[in-house]
Amino acid sequence: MNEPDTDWQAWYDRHGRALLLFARQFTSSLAQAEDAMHDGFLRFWKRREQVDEPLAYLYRAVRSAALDQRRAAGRREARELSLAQTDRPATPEPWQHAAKDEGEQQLRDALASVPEAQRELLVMKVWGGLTFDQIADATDSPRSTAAARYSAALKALRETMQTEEPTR
Amino acid sequence: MSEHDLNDIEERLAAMKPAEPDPAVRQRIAGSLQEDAAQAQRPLIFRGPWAFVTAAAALIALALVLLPLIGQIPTRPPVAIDPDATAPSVDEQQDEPDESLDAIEPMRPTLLAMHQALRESPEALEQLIEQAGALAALPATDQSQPIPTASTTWRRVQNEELQ
Repeated sequence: MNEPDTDWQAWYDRHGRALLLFARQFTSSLAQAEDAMHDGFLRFWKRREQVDEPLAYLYRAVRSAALDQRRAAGRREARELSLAQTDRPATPEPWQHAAKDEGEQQLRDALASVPEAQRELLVMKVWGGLTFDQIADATDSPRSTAAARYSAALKALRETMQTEEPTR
Repeated sequence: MSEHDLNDIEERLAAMKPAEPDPAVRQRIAGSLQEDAAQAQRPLIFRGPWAFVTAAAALIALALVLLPLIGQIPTRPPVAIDPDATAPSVDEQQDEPDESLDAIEPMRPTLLAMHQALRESPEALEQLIEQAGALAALPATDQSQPIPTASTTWRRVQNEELQ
């Protein structure tokens, strides 16, 4: 039984950061993202031997758990908002350190502003290290679509940064 | 927008390091996996939904065993019957009316006494009713006149029938 324990820790060490960032793309708080990561990781670990592409399945499982969390949180927030109109509490940044410079902060802001479907591709490719085949598997889309969306996401980022640059 | 620009953005993105998950997440995953492993070691009938099926089956089996036994359980302790003892006959009971009951309270004529008096004659019934009326009219402390009681009435009726 120690063998599988070591295995899951290796998976967790390798992908934990990217998975948390990935889950944050769908949830409104760090706590929800962590819950999604926990649920998705467990789901992945139980079925990892039955799937062709475990890494893609890991992201798919976390994505599904994050969407579940978001739906549940949406219902909770709707109930709470009906009772008291309050501002959403600030959630910590999903990055390890504060932005080094203005350029990095600009990139972070631009990343936060692109559509969710593009953000999730960026996270999977850049921080998760997934190939386009794996991304296609994780998002249930053709490889060409995944590649095109990724390219579009990078362009959107670039354009967002260019439009913001003159105002700074 | 050139390919170089996109590669540049990709490199800048990759340089940003996501935050480390809280150590509690790792602990929660470890706890959940241990729980799953412990559950997997139990026999199938004690896992997940099978545990409920097993519990229900056990309860039904227990009920099937206990229900017939419940019917046989006596509701009160059995009465020890002496085989040599004989119950007093009806005649004995009639011959020896319990006088102690009369000492407690003078009784008004019973329905049986009135019925027997009527069988005898209407006058006898009237007499019995008059006696009852006199009994009701008597003060509680007046003991000078004999009060007809169930036993005396019964005796009187018996004697009259014999005559």
